[in-house]
Amino acid sequence: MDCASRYEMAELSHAIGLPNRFFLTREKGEEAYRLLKRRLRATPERCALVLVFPQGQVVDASFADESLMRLGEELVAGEFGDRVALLEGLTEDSIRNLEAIIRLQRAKLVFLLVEPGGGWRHVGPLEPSLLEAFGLAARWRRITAPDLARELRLALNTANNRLRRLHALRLLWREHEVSEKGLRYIYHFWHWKGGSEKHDGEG
Amino acid sequence: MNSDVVALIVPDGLGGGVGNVEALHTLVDGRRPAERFVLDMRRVDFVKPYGVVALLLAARRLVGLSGRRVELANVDRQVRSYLERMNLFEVCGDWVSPAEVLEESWDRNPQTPNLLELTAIEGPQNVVRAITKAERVFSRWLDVPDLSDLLRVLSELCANVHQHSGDPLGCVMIQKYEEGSSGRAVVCVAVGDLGCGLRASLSARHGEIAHDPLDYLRAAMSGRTSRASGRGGLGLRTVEEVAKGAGGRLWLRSETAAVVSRASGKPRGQQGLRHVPGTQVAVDLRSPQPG
Repeated sequence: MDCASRYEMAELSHAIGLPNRFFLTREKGEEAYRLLKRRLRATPERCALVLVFPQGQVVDASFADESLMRLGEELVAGEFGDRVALLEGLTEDSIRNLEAIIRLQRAKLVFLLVEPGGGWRHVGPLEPSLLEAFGLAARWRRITAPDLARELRLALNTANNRLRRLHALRLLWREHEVSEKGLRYIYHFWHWKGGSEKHDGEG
Repeated sequence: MNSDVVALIVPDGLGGGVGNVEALHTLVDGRRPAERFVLDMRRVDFVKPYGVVALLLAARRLVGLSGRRVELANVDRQVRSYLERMNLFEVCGDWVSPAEVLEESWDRNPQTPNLLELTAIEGPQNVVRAITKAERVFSRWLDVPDLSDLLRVLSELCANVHQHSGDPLGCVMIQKYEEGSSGRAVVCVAVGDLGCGLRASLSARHGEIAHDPLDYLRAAMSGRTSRASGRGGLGLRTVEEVAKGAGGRLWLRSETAAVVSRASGKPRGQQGLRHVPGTQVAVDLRSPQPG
């Protein structure tokens, strides 16, 4: 299944009583967290929730900590199953700010920043070996441990471990199939391209 | 003046570095109650945001001793104009008023686009209001990265006042200057309250974690938070990072200690200062471009 829901963050700021482009203070971050949590729970499993930030947004560290970081921690803890929050439209300043928060908190969180056309980058600590595997998964959209092992000439265990860690960070979602050879995981890159509510079967 | 009126001559230095403002705290700390206090401003010919905030806090402390509004006497014409422009007598009218009535109205441009007047921080709504106004004012002078940095600093500092200090009368003020030789914009942010201070705020959650007030300042700057949720501790570190990145400086003062953090070198602590309740912060941000 390839799908994505989009949520305009300007709508959120309006809902919590902030001016459109402003995402400020810890109290408002808490309110935002509760709204985002509801949104995420309403998103189908294996689907991404794309948080679309308005142009020229101002996000302070306390707001980001209480909303995005908290959501990120709970995603990684598995509280939302195979769902993810992708961030679209963050300015370079906001990205720098988010990087600083992750660094200062020594958080093991990686956020995926996406563009409507399909471009992406990550924010957060991702070691080179994982980034290499992730890049491959993003290119192929769908990957298994044997695929990765073959492509990067890795031991199957190593490939399996890398994909498992990427999944734990919610950078990939996965499904499994049972065959004569046993349980096999198939890992998928998230889908968000095009910005429409739902796309099935698009690569 | 009768004997129940205590006149205190405010030392020059309110327009100097944060260290110079200490003389004002020395003047006020340990005073005995009196019927009325007058702050004599004859030596003051220039005031910066941190000086205005210190003056206001001094006045509040003196009002606590006398129960009556403090008068500012012998105020230099330009200084008075500046204090009026900064809304000192409006925002802080309960604590301080000018002694002399003006016979003429001074040239005062309320639209001066390089400052955020003294603004009380009573709750989150004031934080948002201060930030939206600061953005409107300073977008003329600062490029987007510098402006964003300023707004984030402002947000974190103001939030600290209303979330941690317990003082509903804390305030913030900002002024942009141009550095003489380089023409670079220097933005000075000052925030102050007379609340519980960093030590009490952190102790409420962690118990007594150290002996000296300076240790609590260092703990706050290394990410200790007083929130029950354990989240937080980012504000001051964010402010410090931004100040350093902007070639500026963070001055954090609470009770009898202070920490100054500059673009280069480790933060430097000071102990044994005169006691001032609450927390006072000054941040300078330097724009890389001519202002």
